[in-house]
Amino acid sequence: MSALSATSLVLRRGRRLVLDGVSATIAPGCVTAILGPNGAGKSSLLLAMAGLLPVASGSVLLDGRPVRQLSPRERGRRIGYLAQSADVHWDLSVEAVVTLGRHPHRGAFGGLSAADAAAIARAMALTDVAGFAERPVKQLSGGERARVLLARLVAGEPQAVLADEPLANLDLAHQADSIALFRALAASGAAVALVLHDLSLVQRVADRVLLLHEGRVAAEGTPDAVLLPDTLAAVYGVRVDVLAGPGGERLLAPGGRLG
Amino acid sequence: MRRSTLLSGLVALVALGFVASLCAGKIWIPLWGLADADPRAWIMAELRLPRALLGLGIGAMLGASGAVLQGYLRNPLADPGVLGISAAAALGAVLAIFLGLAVSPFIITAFGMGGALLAMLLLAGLVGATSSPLTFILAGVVLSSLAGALTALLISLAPTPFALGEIVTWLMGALTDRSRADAALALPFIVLGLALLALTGRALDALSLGEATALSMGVDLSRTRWLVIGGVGLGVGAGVAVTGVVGFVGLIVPHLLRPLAGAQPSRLILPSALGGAALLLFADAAVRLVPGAAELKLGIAMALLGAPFFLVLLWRLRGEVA
Repeated sequence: MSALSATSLVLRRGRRLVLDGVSATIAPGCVTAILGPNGAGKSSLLLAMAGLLPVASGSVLLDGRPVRQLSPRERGRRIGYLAQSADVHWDLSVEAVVTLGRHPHRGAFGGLSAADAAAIARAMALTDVAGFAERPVKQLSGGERARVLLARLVAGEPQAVLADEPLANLDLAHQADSIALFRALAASGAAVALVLHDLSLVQRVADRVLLLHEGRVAAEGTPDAVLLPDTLAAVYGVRVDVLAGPGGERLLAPGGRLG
Repeated sequence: MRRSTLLSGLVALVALGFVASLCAGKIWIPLWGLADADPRAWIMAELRLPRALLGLGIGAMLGASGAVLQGYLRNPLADPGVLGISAAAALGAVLAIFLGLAVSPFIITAFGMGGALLAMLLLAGLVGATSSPLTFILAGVVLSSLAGALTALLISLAPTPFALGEIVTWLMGALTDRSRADAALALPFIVLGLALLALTGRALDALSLGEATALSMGVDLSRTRWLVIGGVGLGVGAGVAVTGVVGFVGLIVPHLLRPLAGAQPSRLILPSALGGAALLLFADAAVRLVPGAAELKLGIAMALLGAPFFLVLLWRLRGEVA
């Protein structure tokens, strides 16, 4: 069980202050949703927490150890990062892409171990891509490719998962499958952070919500505590109605722009 | 195609090309049955053997460099020339000729490698701040243009018609009359370069998912960059110093082999090295057979073959390569 925690992160890109003192904890066993308008710093926070971007100040700790001090391979084994872009530059087969997920576990030379092969097969089954394992990725639809890249992440068996808009491009059924998969990863002890946009979805699947606004944490807590009309209006500038669903659950309906 | 079938096929092609390079020429020389006193035995041992060995090594180096650069830059049009290392090596060698230091092949070779080394260091300095392939490729383009301009300047200032002729002949690229000393000088660097490039395979595969993802999987991007710079710089630098500029091998070979070997960058490096060696050996044997008083230059032959290939490729890839 590994917690990933950031303390007072400050990150600049060029002259722009992208993160301005962000502190956040991605707890093991939980799904944490990262929310916020475009440009709020969600993707940068994910990259910084994955140890992929140097920060101007502040620290990111995995189990109390700075992630920038982990060896690249150890960091790769323990923290899984799923990029927003679903591009694969060469026409690799689905299985070859999923196999890349074992990169941090493999030696410089030599083939796949039995553990590698098992992890790859499990990841392909969990993401429903085993049926087209031999197909070249460029022949797949955007949604299928997104699942293949998710399988790549799962194959690495990370303790912390940071995924940037993992549900974009997925149809409703595969969104539900992916959410179930992230929940299962959390249930098995992983710390899971997902950048998401759909408020009702966040209400339903997230244990914790981190709401970012202009590089700062606007609110942090359980969905019930964070997803409030006033808070969301202040951050998004949009009216959000909270309705009661058939089972009494909260549904969030974004409306028009305010003011 | 099964990988073992592909590799054995390519090895057979290289062997055939090597034999062709030993035997073919203005005079045909049989492989066996030469008496020691036969002057053809001397030609075989002193002229054609180093020429064939250099063709083998340089072809392998150019082919592997093309495969590695295309994988590293994620750009199917990348070629050793793009980095500007060939152009810089050529500048170094031309400088040696210009200064009248071309009394021994060793000095041209040393100057050529010096140019390549300088280009590598400059490039490393330019791209040290970033690991972006675009910056890398732009730095190469700038370097290439600069080296080309300086080479043209030296040609226009050539002190004697003799030096001018020598520079122009050398620039056209050829394996003609290269000695054992040339081979002994260039081949160790080529072998070293190939060894460095062979270490990049896994990282190149991971890079097909983009830099952030590769980094997140524990790929050491700066080590990869240094391996690419070092491997291409040393190997191609040494090769260009001996043969002049022979282009397009690194472009043609990976493209022809990608459908057979698969698109995965790591699986393309060894086949491209073998394919490059075969292509250069056959091309070098073929240019000797073109009728005419003077031999067709290898660099010109490869450009005549490669440029239309490049255009066809560009046409087929339009829209894909932004």
